[in-house]
Amino acid sequence: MHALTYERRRLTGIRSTWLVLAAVLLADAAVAALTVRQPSLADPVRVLTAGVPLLPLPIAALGAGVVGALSYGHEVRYPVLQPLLLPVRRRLGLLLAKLLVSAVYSVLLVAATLAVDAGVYAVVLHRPPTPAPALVGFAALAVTAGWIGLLAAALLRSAAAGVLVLLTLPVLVEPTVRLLRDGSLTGDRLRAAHWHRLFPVDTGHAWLSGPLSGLHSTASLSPRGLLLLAAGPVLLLLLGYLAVLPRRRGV
Amino acid sequence: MFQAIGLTKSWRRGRPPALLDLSFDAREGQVTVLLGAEGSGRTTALRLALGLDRGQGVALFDGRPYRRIRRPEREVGAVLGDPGRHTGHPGREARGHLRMVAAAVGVPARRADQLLEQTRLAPAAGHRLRTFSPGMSRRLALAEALLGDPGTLLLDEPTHGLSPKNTEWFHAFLRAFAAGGGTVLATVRDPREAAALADRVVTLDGGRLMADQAKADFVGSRLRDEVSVRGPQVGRLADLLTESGAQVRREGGAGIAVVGASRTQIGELAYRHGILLHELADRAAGSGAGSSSGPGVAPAPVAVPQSSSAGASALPPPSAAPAQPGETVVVLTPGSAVSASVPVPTADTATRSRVPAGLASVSGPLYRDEPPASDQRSE
Repeated sequence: MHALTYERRRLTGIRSTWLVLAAVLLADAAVAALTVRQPSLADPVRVLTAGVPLLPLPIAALGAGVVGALSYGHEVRYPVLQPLLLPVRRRLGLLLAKLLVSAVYSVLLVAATLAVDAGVYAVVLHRPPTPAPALVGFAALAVTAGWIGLLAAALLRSAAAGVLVLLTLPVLVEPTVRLLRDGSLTGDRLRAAHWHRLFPVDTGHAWLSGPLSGLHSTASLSPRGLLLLAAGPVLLLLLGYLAVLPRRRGV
Repeated sequence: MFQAIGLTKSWRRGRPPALLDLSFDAREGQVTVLLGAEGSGRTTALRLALGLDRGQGVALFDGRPYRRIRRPEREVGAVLGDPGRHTGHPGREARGHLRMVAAAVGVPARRADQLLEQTRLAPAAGHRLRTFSPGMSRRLALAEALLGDPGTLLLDEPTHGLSPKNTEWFHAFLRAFAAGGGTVLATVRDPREAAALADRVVTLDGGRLMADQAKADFVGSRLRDEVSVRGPQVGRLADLLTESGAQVRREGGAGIAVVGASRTQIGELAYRHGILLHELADRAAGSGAGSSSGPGVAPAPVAVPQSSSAGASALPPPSAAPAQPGETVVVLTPGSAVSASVPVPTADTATRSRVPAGLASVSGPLYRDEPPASDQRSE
């Protein structure tokens, strides 16, 4: 079984892959064009990643997550390989191939995003943006988002469920991290007044992607902390999938 | 060689098992057909054989169960799923789809193109799967199953809902595959199609094995000759024939096919009731038709006549002697054929089902045994 070839042909053969790519690039260009004109917002990193304060994740990461979720959702919805995927080792191999192809797609998506936004930046301001190390973290975030979408869809057997998990995770994780860092939940400093921060409605939206997309965040995270934060859900979902893998017949 | 040993699929509680202790062999060079109505457990048997469903029993492909085969796609090809709709993504092109599956199977893309030619899909290779007709979808599914060049084919209703031309193509292909030394196991719901396709017919009913017969035995025991009748008033004739116990199938507006009544009997019946006929012809069931005995015969689907028809109860016989079991009571009035027979209470369902008792009572002993009936008619 040539799982990598299969996954590459599967991904390039359906329209949604290219539709998501086009939609992400269009939205990115539009957001970048809006932000670059306002001097207060025209931070190069922010323009390049096209961060939108309303969304829990950068647009490119969302696109990567959608394609990752569809990648497994299609296997469930259109069970073409039904008898072929009975052995556990084959399903594992297919999952690894999907993770790899999803990562490549995410990186390409990020590269295209940066290219488009850099073009917008250069055209409007007549000077090229200076690259920042945070952009590597941006690519890592997109890859992680793709994996979370893929693994959640694999665990829950539905592309929609995968996308939902991807959208929900940052919303849940960010306030929790903030509470933990504040120490509100630990020791004698447990104060009821801080519980309102669990509801993301009232306080300023400072999402997981804050430090990367150039948005102002109340919970300032180091790149290492962000990496740990993103790797946690991936590992959890992977463990969950490995737990149900032998009990399922087929995908 | 495929062997099924005691395949059983039971539900948790309260429901009868979908499949109970099914054992049969499918040999190389033969087309074996699993025949049964919808819900008789044919698809369950195939899914159990592949290990897609949980159940009891063993299915062996050349002595090994499916999941022990190292590269199963090289030995077993399966065509499963909803007939008429392809399982693939509807937005994908046929060529890309088959190449994708070829990668999963581990064969070069060249093989996919070759199979598109072989299944006559090459002209439609650039079209999306959503534009495919049921016949094309089934041929594409067959092409997928053949990618690994397997020696055994498992097909779930390959020809259900297809046009006669596509059905014929499928039959020819499967027979050629078997003739080349392959093993074919297909499920079919029409007995006539089973007779046309199979070398061996395994009949299922309600999840149980009813018969495992070679084709000749099957044709002799399960299929009977039909009589094709055409005419402007066949509707009325159909009612009369059904009343007298024959099995009638409509064929368009002005034609019926009758099982369980000979040409002579139908002709006489039509004459007596003044029904005009345009055609009355025998139609052979198969090559081995005629032999009416054989062990393990499944009950043929013939309606056993009711013990008293409506007409008989409306017109009680003048001589009020109660009929003994087995005795035939016939009342005839002008313009209506009424027959009634008291069925012999017997356990031999095979005998009873094959003898159209009601019709025999109308045509056979009628004129000889009951002269009063003739007198009544001549008035």
